[in-house]
Order: sequence, then C-alpha cells, then structure tokens
Amino acid sequence: MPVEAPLAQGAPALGAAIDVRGLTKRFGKVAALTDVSFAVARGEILGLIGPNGSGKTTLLRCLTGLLLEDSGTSAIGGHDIHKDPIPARAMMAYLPEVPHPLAYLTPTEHLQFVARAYQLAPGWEARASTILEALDLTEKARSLAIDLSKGQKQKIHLAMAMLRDPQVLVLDEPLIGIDPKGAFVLKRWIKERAGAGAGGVVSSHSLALVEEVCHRVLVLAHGRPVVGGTFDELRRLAHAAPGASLEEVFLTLTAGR
Amino acid sequence: MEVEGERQVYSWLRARQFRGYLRYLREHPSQLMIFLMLPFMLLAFLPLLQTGPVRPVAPDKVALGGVALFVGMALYFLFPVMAGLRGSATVQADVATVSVVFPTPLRRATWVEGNLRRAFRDVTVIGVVGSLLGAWVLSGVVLTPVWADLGRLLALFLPAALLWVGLGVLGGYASLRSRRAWTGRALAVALVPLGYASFFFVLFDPKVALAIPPFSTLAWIALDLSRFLVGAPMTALDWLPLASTWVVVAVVDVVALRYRYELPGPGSSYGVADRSGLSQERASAPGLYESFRLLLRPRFLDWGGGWRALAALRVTFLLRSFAVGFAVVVLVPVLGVSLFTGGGGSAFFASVLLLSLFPMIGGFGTMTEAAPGRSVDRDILRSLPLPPREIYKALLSAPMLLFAPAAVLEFAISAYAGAVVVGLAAAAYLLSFPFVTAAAQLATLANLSESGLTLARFGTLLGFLETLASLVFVLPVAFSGSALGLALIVGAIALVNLLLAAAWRWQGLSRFDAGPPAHLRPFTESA
Repeated sequence: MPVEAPLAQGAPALGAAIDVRGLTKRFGKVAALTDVSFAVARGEILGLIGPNGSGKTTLLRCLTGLLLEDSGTSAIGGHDIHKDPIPARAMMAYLPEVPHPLAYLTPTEHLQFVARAYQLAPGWEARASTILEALDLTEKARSLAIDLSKGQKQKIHLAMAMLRDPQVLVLDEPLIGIDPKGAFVLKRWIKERAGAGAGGVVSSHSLALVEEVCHRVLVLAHGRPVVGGTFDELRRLAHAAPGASLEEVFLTLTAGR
Repeated sequence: MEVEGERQVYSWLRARQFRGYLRYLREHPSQLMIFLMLPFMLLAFLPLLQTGPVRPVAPDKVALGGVALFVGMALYFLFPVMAGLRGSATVQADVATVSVVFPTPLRRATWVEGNLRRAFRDVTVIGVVGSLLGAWVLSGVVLTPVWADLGRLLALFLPAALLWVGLGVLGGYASLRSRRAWTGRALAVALVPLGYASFFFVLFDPKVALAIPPFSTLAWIALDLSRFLVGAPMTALDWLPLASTWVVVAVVDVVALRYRYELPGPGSSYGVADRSGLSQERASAPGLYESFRLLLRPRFLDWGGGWRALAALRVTFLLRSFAVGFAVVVLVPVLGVSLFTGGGGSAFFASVLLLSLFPMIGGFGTMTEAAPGRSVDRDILRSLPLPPREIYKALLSAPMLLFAPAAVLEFAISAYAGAVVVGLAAAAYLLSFPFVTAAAQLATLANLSESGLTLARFGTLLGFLETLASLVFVLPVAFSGSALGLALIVGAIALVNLLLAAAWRWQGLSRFDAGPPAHLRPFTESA
C-alpha cells in the first residue's frame, strides 16, 4: 500500500487555519504520535479517522495545547499554540472526546462564562437562548450539569462552541451521545462555519459524518499518518470504484495496520 | 484581556461553582449531613481533651521530649505531606477545568494564582483554628497566658505550613512542565526515601534522635523550636531556625505567587505516568508504579465455594491494593522504634501515631480499592446466590485481615510501654473499624433506591471522619501526656463504631431480605 507524503511540507503554510509539523508524543513505552504533519486551509474541514488507539485524540490535545508534545509544533491561525497561546485559543473552539462540563454550573452559566472569557458583545443572551432551544436544552438550562445526561453534557460543550464564531474548529468525536436533532444542528453549524471561512479538524469514527462535512481526510494508524487527501484521491489510492463509500476505502487503506 | 479582568472572570466562575455546589447540597440533603457530622464529632470529643492528671508548669520545667516529638511530627511529616499536597494541587487541573476553562483565551497563570491565594487562605484558616485548639491544650501544660501560647503557635506553625504550600506548587509545576518522564520519576524516587526517613525520625524521642547522626540536626531544630513553643528562655542562636523559616517562606511564597505558569493540561506529576492524553479507546501501558505492582502481584486466592469465594476475591483485591504496602510502611517503623528504644516514651508515641494513621489506611484502602462499586461491581455482588449474612461475613474478611495484626501490635507496644489500659482501648478501637466498614458496605449493597444508597454510602465516610477526629484529638492528648484521656477517646470512638456497625448491619440485612424497592421490581423481574 503506498503511503502518501504528509500533507504539510516545506515552508509553513501561510494563512492556514491549522498547521501541524512533526508532532511526536510518547506515553512511556507507548508511541502515541510519531512525526505527524498536516495543514488545514481556511474554509476547509479535515476529517481525522483511524482505528481505536491510533492517536487521534492525542493529536487533537497536542494541537489545542492541552498536552505537551515531545517534539514538533502546532499553530492555530498562524499562532504557535505554546509560544503565542492567547490569540491561538481565541480563534479556536474545542469539543472534547468525552463531555466534562463543570459539574456545579448550569448550561446557562457555562454560556455566561464563555461570554465573559471571550468578551462577547452585548446581545449574546438572545443568541444563547436560540442555541439552547435548537439543542433542546431550554428545559434544562437551569439544571446543574452534574444532574444531566451524557448527551446533554455534550450539548453544553457544543453550545459553548456555537455561541461565538470560531475561526478554527477542533472537534473530537462530536456526535457521541448526541441525538439526531442535535447531530443535525452540529453538522449544519460545521458547514456554516466552513462556508464563512473557518477551518477545522473533525475526528470521528462516523464515516458518514466525515463524508458529509469534511473536504479532505487524514488517516492515522499507530500514531502515524497513513494516507491523506480528498475522497477521490483516497478512492484512487485504494483502487476503489468512483462511487465507493468511504467505509470501503477506509477498510482497504487500513487493512493489516 | 488584562490580568485584572481575568481575575474577575475566574472569581465569578469560582463563586458560581460554589453557589452551584451549595444548591447541590440543598437538593441532596444526605450529602450535607456529612459536613454537619464533622463539627458534631469534633465537639463531642472536645471535653476529653483536658482529661487527666496533667498540671501546668513553668516554661523552663516542661519536658521538651514530648513537645519536640509533636513539633517534629508536624514540621517534618504532617506539613510536608498535607500543606505540600495542598500546594501541588493548585496546579492540578481536573478534567472539567481542562475541557471548559483551558481552551479559552484566559491565562492559566491567573487561574493558578487564584488557586494559590485560596490555598494560602485555607491553610491560614486551618492554622488559626488549629492554633486556637493548640493554645487551649498548651494552657493546660504551660504556665503562660493563652494569648501568648496562641501567638507562639501561630509564629511557629503558620509560616512552616505556608512554606510547604509554596514549595508544593513550585514542585508540582516543575514536574508538570517536564517533557521527560524520568524527571518526575527521579523526583518520586528522591522523595520517597526522604519522606520515609522523616516519618521514621518523628517516631523517635528527639533526645534519642540527637545521638543518631542522620537525624541529629533535625532533632536539634525540633528541640529548639519546642523551646520557643513553650516559652522557655532562648539564646540568639536558638532564634536562627525560626528566623530562617520566616525569611525563606517570604521568598518562596512571593516567587510562587508571581510566577507566570502555563499549564499544559490535565494534572499529573510526581512520577505518575502522564497518560491523560490517551483517549478512552486506547489501553494504557503500565507505568513504573503499575509495573512494580504487577511484578509483586499476589496470586488469586482460592478458598473454596460459597462465602469463602467472595471473601477470597475481596482479600485478593486488598492484597493487590496499595493499602497493604502502606500498612507495612507504617507498621515496620513503629515496631522498629519500639524495639530500638526498649519501650517507654518513644514506644508510646509510636503506638499513638499508629492509632492515628492506621484507620486512614483502612478508610482509603478497604473502603475504596476493595469496596463494592469499584473493584467488584455492585450488581454482580448482589446477584450472587449467597444469603446476606454470608455476604457480610465475606465483606468483613478483608478489612479484618488488615486491622487485626495492627490491633495485636498496638496492644503489645502499649503494654511494653507500661500502658495496658491504653493498649486494650486502642486494640478495641482498631478492631472496630472492620465491623463498621463491612456493615456500611453491606448497607450500600442492599439499598437500591438512590436515597437509601446515598445514606448507606454516607456510612462508609464515617470511618474517614472518625479518623480525622482521632487525628485532631489523639495527638494533642498524647502530647499532654494523659493516658486516661487517650484511653477514653479511643474507647469512645470504638463504642461509636460498634454501635454504627450494628445499625448498618441490621439495616443492610433487613433491606436484603425485603428485596429491591417497588419501583425497580418490574425491571429486576424481567431481567
């Protein structure tokens, strides 16, 4: 199986939403990431797929500065996540793999926190109400997060991301635990943000989601980039028929890895 | 955003979280009871503090050995552990903070600064309350005004505690920022023998320790500071340790407050392998500690069928938990010091320390690592074809295995030191913990409704609260030299434990016999 060269090469991608170069991270004897590089342009959504334990979550946590990599660099909108963290984080919205809202805050208070932390302009309350309603959280808006279900907790994170207009999306398994209506809202939001020029990475095992909202795909296995490109490029690499599903292509490309 | 603006955001967030927590307690009253129970227990034991034939004497007539042992234990063991951990906790972010707060464009240094200020405040409040209590005890020992006792206690212990908070935060941060796992491990490898040596040291009468070269400086400082504590006359040289502490604490704490921290993410330090970046999909490889545990892991016990099978399962879990190692770490020096000193004061204080620490091991060990709901799933235990009385018997086996040797050792040491009554009361005290633990766990297993379950779980926390109460009271009573007071306190706790155990056992057995509550029956029957 031919392994395509990393997506980012040569000089740093100027104006890229995300630029990752040579990321390497080990946990003791576990090599979670080995020399991962890629870039995501503005207006582009990159799908990150790979088998269980392939390093997707570790990659996103390094990218967002929530984990110290052993070597390599990550930049959000041209800002290094460690050297210039504040503007980098100001541009970014992050949805964690497992929802962990603050236990003793209500969904409304989470949004109030976002408004304060990002210094949102007055009038954000109306938008917050619309988002909570769209996500079916209005009835639970004043319940403590500790008393909410897993899906409702995930929706709190989603509502926090949706309250502003982030220029970079970093979404780790965003559909887990979310009901069909919530999933619809999420997918529409991702497409709207990309249409408005935001770039992002969506890590997911749901290949249907990736096919629907992503422009390109990067496949990871054992912490290394296996292959990357548009859906058509991946089909060619997998010697699949032009209309073959991403599932078939993925299974072919990761066979034996 | 300016730093001041960030401080306001973080203050708002903490206030909201606190308000939410109070609301949670209001909506879950059984949780609130835990907090109400603690002051009640402290007050209940308060009158026992000044029991005994101790008469206050002039400062220069006080026997400094016992005082220095207390001072050494606080400065060299309790403060480094408790205040140091409190300090390092200020840079340890929980997963919710990492998920919600850290991705925002707020400086994490401001978050640490807020935590650190709270740590300083907490330690100061605890220091003042503890000093008030200590001044009351001291007034029964030394013929000096209470306000002077309070001033000396504050001047000695508060800066020392604040110093360890500052060292804790700086050490914790250095460990977190390290990209290389070996630095954390090196720190752990260096700290463990140091901590153990300190613990060993505090078991000695400092006058004995003065003659043991590795401990002589520590013993001299402890004796010197004890002289200050009781108000005995001091030379200029005697002021040196205290004055040095004041200077060092000022420097360390200012540095800790001003430092611009940039936390990388979830807290994990002191040699614990940082696998927090791994997702739930990936099986983690064992780190240094886990590898060691796997290497020494005892084989699965096979004691036959019925309740013996369950007992063997729980004892296996206990033997594989950290509680046994911790118990050995505590028991060996206590036994060693008693034999080394040939009974007397050091042996007596060593046994007092054993009394104070051992139930803590039980609390954290038998009630968590080998408790239903964690190592053994509650539903699996409930589905076993065993009568509830046999389940109780099995639940009793693991904690009893841990506490029975400690009780025997406690009695032997106390008797060796000439305090047979204390030894008997202390052995009863230690033996009462397995009963209350097993009964509370039985009640937890038997209750399927949420309110019943919460109440039963509350019982498992009682052991911890009692331990805290004994830690607060046993040491000062021992310090005041009142054997009768000590016997009364530990005897009273043993009695309370046995009464609670009887109540929880009765509740657990009757609940088991009654079956699941009505609203759960259709589900359990269809299952």
